[in-house]
Amino acid sequence: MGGPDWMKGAPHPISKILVANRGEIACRIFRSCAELGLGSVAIYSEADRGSLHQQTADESVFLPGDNLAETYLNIEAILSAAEETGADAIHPGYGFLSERSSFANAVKEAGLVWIGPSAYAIDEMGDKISARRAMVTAGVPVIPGEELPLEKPDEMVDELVRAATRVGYPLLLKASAGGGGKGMRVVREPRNLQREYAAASREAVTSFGDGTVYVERLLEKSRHIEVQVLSDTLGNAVHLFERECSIQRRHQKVVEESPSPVLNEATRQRMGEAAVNAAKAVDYEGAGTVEFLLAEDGDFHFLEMNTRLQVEHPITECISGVDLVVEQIRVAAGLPLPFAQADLSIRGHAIEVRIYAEDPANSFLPAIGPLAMFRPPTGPGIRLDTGVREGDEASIDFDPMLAKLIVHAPEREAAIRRMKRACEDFVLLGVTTNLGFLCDIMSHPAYHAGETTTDFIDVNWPEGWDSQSSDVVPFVAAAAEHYGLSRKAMAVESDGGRGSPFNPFLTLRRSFP
Amino acid sequence: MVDIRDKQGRQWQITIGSSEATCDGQNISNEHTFEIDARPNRMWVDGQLAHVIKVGDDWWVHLDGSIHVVSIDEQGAGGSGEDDGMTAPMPGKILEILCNIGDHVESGQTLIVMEAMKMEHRIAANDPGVVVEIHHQVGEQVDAGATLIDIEDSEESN
Repeated sequence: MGGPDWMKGAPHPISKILVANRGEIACRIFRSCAELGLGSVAIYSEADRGSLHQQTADESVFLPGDNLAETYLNIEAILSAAEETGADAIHPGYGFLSERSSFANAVKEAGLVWIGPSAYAIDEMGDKISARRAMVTAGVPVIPGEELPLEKPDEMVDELVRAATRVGYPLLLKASAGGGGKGMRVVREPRNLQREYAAASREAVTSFGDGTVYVERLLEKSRHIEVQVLSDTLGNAVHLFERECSIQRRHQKVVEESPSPVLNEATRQRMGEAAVNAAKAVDYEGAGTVEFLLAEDGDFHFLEMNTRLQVEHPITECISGVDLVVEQIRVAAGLPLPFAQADLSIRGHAIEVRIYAEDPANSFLPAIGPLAMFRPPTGPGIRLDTGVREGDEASIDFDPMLAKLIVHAPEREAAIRRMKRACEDFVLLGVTTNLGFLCDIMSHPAYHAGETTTDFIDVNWPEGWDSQSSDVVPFVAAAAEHYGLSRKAMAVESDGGRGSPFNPFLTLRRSFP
Repeated sequence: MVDIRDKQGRQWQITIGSSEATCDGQNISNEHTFEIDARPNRMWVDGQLAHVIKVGDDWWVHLDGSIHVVSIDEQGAGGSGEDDGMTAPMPGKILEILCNIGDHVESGQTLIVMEAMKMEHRIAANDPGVVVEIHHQVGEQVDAGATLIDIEDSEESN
């Protein structure tokens, strides 16, 4: 007990971490645990039995139940899993319980170390309305909007219409407790207001248990830029520069990069300072992200603060050389940050793309299927964060993100070329993904020019995206069919995929297994 | 001979070992060369490495930096013309049904709201017509491709 040697003398020593999450982020945290000499515990539901995250951890605890409330959102079950395995700290990852102050409190009350900010900071920043107010007080500019807690649609219709008129169209309806594009709706015309409000509110209730929605002006042609901050429990806080996350579909990020291709040094400085001030205003502890919208005229507006590790944190790790998960753990243990702002600098350029099981040629609708072949690219400056491997399934049970592909290179053009090559080299067969679309983004002159506004996809593919047709592939398939060129497990499922019993290829495989 | 349908809906008839093939009934030449090595799921196509795998009736192909999928058409199967049913574009749950049997609907009108991956998706009519059948109820889980609603062409409007 007491943790590894480097943990000696820490006010809250940690020896074994339970990750209250799944998928790629759980795997990513387990890897840091292994490198730090810490034990690790996974929790998993029935759908995740045998998953990579379950198998990456030292130990795992099964959570029965067939919905999230009984499994990954079940605070009681998670705490007993920690007790059962002797875990002395809990890392929430992102999503699920990561931004629930009740969970942070429950973890602490159970006598465990919570790897995240205080419940106070989560509440203050987690509610978009109170966060807005806090930023106004701190002197950080916010987007024009109406902070109306519209709880009951029937009674609030008139109020909603009036607020929408004051804010102006196009506008954005946002769940107060929201994030990740859920509970968020764009309204371009007044006649769609009530319908979209009902949908946003319903999504908010389903996803966050809180149907409160607020109205905000939609700033088009703007850029989504966020600043990574890191604070310890001793009053030290730094920022780790920005991430540009403008390329989105359905308000979910698709491509992120750091540094931003447009930010000048002065704005970077101002944004970084604003982010550190925002963190200090709520006595923030650990890793957090302050999101800004950068308007065309160079003004920036506070969007929200995410009180957790972000999906796109690896690009910051690439350019800063700081392992954010390691720092989160050190801060939670009560150790000071090992560097000051002056020690930090931007090294090179990093890009992350999110590989989704979805059909970009069909409105980005989610796709399902087996990961029949999953051969990630390799080479210098390439990192893949994923919770799946060949043979797994993309199912409807969870978010369709399969993997994050990250590249790091000395400068932006080299990083783009590296990412294009990496996307092209990725052999991912059996389920439709956005890989081809990502390749096209990496080849697009507008991307090279750094014109990465939030409407990038709509502007550059107004008619939607379609894959290139091929006049060779039908011949490849015919030859593959003719020679029975499919592997055992997959061929069993399919009729006639094995080829003739006299196929020399099959015989060859039998002779030389 | 192998019958293949690609994503663009083109029908190919290809016989490996023959120098001719057809695409949508047009004769085209087959000048591709294939080399098979001892590894499963890969082959050389005109000197380039391709990864291939079959899932169900689909061949997935990674060739020259891009991924494609084409389907083997089993003889006799398929080939039925476009029906007027609306199908689920992805697996998910029916959240709302916004039409009734007998309703006259316009193209683009939202008829069903589905939920998949925690997001709501609106399913709109492709063509105007009259709703003659609703196959599912609110709360039901449906598979991708499941027929949701049958729409019959309304009398030819002028």
